[in-house]
Amino acid sequence: MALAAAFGRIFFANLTAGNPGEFWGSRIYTVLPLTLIFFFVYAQLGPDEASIRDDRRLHFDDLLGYVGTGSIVALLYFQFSNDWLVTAWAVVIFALFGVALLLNRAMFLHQGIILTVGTCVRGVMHNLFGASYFSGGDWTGRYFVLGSAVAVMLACLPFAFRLRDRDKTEAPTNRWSGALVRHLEQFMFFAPVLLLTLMLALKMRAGMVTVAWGIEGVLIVLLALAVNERSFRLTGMVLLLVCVGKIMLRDAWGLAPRDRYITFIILGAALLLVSFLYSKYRDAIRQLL
Amino acid sequence: MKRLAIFVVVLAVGVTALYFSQRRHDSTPVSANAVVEVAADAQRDLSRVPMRLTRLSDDEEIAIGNQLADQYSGVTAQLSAEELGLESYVRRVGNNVSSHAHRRLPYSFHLVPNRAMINAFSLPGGPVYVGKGLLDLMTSEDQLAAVLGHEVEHIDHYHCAERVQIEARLRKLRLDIVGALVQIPLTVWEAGYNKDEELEADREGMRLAVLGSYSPYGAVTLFEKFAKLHDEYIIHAQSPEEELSALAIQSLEGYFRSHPQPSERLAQANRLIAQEGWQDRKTQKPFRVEYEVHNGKYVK
Repeated sequence: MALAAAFGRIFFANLTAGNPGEFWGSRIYTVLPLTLIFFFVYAQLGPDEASIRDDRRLHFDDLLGYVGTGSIVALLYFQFSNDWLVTAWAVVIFALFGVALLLNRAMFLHQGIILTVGTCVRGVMHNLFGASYFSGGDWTGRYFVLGSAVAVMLACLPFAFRLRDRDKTEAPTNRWSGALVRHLEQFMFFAPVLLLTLMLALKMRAGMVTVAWGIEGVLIVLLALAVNERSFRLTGMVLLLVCVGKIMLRDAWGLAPRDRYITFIILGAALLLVSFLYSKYRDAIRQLL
Repeated sequence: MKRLAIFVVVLAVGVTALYFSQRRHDSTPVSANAVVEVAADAQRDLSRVPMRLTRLSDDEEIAIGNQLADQYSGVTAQLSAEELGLESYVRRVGNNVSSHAHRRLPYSFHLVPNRAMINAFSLPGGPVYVGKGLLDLMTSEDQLAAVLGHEVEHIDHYHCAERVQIEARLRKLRLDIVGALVQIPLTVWEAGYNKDEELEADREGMRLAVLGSYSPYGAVTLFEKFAKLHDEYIIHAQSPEEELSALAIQSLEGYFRSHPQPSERLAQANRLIAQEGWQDRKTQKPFRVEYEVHNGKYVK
């Protein structure tokens, strides 16, 4: 009860504490120790302790784990500027998957999945659609903030592959999260890629969207070949096909001459590179089909 | 042994945090600001997607603004000669500031002759209203420029247009029917916007004021005044019971007025000045209204 009350109270007394613009203020040094306490108590309520069987029935340990992560997520909400929050949360996702792998605790994996959904929703709602109409138009505001969040989420892929390989040996669960946990690498690939594709569509100058998608498609194909994932490779190919379709249906007729030349040259080079890679790694790709 | 060591570390961190909290003299009042802020931000972000996809044209926005402004015509019609002079002064400063806005809209500036109104607000399409009570607080023209720049930016950045769209949707009103918007009370416009929008209007309003050759320190001195008033107004609870009652009052008020704290606005203004290198623009013009009256009637 005391720990739950402490968690509730931070929303009324601690999260808005301190002076604006101050990083190491009272907000940090009152909430962080509390988070440490939550995780310390969580760690004491291990699943093999017979003496806390009653607590396990109520899942106090999981509750404390969620409260601990919740307090960090809430702290970051108030600690960072609204735009950069997605990147801060992406770093927490990275840490959660790392901890899930290190400690072999599924709860952190579930938290990582929930926070990934939250980060993507926030990215779309706030950074893409909620952004200012006129200000924030420099490259940092347009691409770097959300781009860094996408990069950090994609950096979770090595953890996701290892977690998938480890979970393959475990008995399948019937829980809602079963499918996501079993195919974590798919989730951690498609969530940031969708966010990136949408960002390029909304933030790039209209004439350069096809070029940006084409480059993204090539990078995805390269990633797919590096990690031997069929779904990744198909995604890259689909994106390149969408670009070709867009060029034929729209760009060839509607773009300004300079944008049209750039689009044709870069997309042509991208398609040549992909066909070269396909012929070079033909055998490996055939095994994936 | 390992568990004990971790326990000692956690305890030490906790005690250190307590020590620093006690040593620090500034106290933060217990309030629901954090929850209100999150709720207001979430509401804004959720509404922004449909707003972007169904944005009003400038002509539609101007027509809606004119309809809403008609409700205020009664309030602003009965002005004394002194008040007409004051309104003319507000209009001159406002026109100077609004000429640098992104959107070319018919911005108009009006005085609300009410000394109790320490506020300013704007309507979609261009009308801006300033309370006489707010003008009483001002000592420089630059402060007025900061306030008017802030209000112009609420219009310029579609904050007002989006609010009218939301209100129309909530009240099931059709924007294309003349007179339907009378059902939106004026208090909706007098209440502030969410934190993000307020800070954006502050930032962009300061830029407008500077482009209109005013000092950015007009905004700074005004926010300092607001911060002082805010500190006098808020309740510093001394017991859990007082905390709860203060919380209830502030939550209700805060949801509708989720303005950022004056200290936060002040910090942003100082940050912007440093970032833009405006530190040498310290000189402010005095707030001076000049007008001519002939036979008790306002001339110019």
